[in-house]
Amino acid sequence: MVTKKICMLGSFSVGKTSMVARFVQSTFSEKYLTTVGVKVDKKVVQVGGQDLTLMVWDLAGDDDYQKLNMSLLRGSAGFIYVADGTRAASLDAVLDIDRRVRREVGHFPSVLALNKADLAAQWELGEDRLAALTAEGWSARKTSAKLAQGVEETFLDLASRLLHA
Amino acid sequence: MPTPDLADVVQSLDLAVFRREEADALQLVGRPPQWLSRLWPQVARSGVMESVLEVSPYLDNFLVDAAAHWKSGKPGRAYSGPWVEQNPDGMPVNLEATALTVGGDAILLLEDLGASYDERREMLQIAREKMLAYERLNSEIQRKEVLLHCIIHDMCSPLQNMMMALSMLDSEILAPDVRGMVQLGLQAGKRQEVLIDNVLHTYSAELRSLFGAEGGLWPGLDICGTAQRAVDLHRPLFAQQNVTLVFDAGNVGPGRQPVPGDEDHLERVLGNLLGNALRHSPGGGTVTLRAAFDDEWLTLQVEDEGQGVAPQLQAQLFQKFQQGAVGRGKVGLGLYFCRITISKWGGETGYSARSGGGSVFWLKLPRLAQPA
Repeated sequence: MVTKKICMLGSFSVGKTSMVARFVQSTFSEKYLTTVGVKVDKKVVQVGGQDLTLMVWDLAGDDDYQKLNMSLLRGSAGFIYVADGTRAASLDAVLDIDRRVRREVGHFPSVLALNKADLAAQWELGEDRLAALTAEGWSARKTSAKLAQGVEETFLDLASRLLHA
Repeated sequence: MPTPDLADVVQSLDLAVFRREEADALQLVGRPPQWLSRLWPQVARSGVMESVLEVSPYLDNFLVDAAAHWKSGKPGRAYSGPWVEQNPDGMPVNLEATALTVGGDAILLLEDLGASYDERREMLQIAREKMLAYERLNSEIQRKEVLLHCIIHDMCSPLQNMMMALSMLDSEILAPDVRGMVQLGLQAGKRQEVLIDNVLHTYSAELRSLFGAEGGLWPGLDICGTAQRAVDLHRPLFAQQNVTLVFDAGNVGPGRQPVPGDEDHLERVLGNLLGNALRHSPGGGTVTLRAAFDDEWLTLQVEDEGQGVAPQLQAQLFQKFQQGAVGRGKVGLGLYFCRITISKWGGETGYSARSGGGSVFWLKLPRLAQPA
């Protein structure tokens, strides 16, 4: 069976770990517990009739306290970039991470999750921004790890891109 | 004094010690600690980790860096950073690996971080929660300030129009009863002006300074001092992102200069422009805050070496809740705040492309006739 390493990338408190927990274990916790270091999970998905093992590397959020170590991306087939839709600055941050990754590691299949879509009243990203991201070539979608919306689609979208890369 | 047994020392440190073998396998040295027996019983029993990738993809990834360290022959150690594995019973184990060379042997130490991991996480968690709270508070303050400005603006403009119309009517020849009604309207309008003034005074003494100087006279601004404070405040952030920050005072001297405004607000305006420039600057680039006086205007401009702003977006830059095509702003109020602040002081804000690439965000304040 084909195995692919994918990494979750984004600022802190955007919901990377929650997305992995939703995808791998179908669970969600309201409590914010910051990730230190890395946790690797595994899940087999079916894409186009083909089984594919995703090794999901959940990396600690990138900020002034913990900088992304590019050597952790070694051997990756693709990335899931995650931003918190209720904090527009986190989108800014994840796009900055993408630039650094492209510069230092290279260009790999990627998708973008605008997470916490359940917090509609606090949402800071207009539809025009989503459209602008799409126009720039991003496969971007709103997700909610809490409500299990768009999470599976995000992982399967990337899985599909990996098989066709 | 008897020499302590090395194996006992290693065991008391609760470390798993491996030696890298020729075939890239990891050979356990000495007795395995208990946590290793629970985590990877097969490795603890056999004393060897043959396929590291199967046992731990993270450790396998680190071995590339470890191999480079062993090969380099340099003194010191290479650290993996922390990661999480899971016991067969589902319990998390927080590990860190260290690569070092001992007597020519490539040695890998594995440590169960235990409580030190929890402490590290707790500290990080507190720092990040505070940062989130700070972000939320700043965003809320800025939103409320803009909202207050909009409300006041919406109240003032029609009132001024009504007062002007009534004043013009009052200067005409009117029947006494009509004049009475016009004057009633004027009195009501003046009361409304006082009410707005009270609202401003009550809710935001800070905002009040945007609407004019006390007694109509501006005291002047220490441009260099204010700009330097904004630069000093942002310098650590710039350093972190490897962007050079330069302040060029040009022909603007020290001390108060004859321009309207207040220094706290101007510092925030400059802070917004500098923050904006930083977000759009490539690592290794330079951002310059430049000041210049001519006969009519003081100009302050922030130049960056980023990608510039697409022509179709330039007109909207200083509008409310605009964040650019790629959404790189914070909450879309920073440049709007700059515009409303500077325009209230009779100044202008704008954008122009930087020759050689990048952006120039500028503001102009009128030179006052009054002595500063």
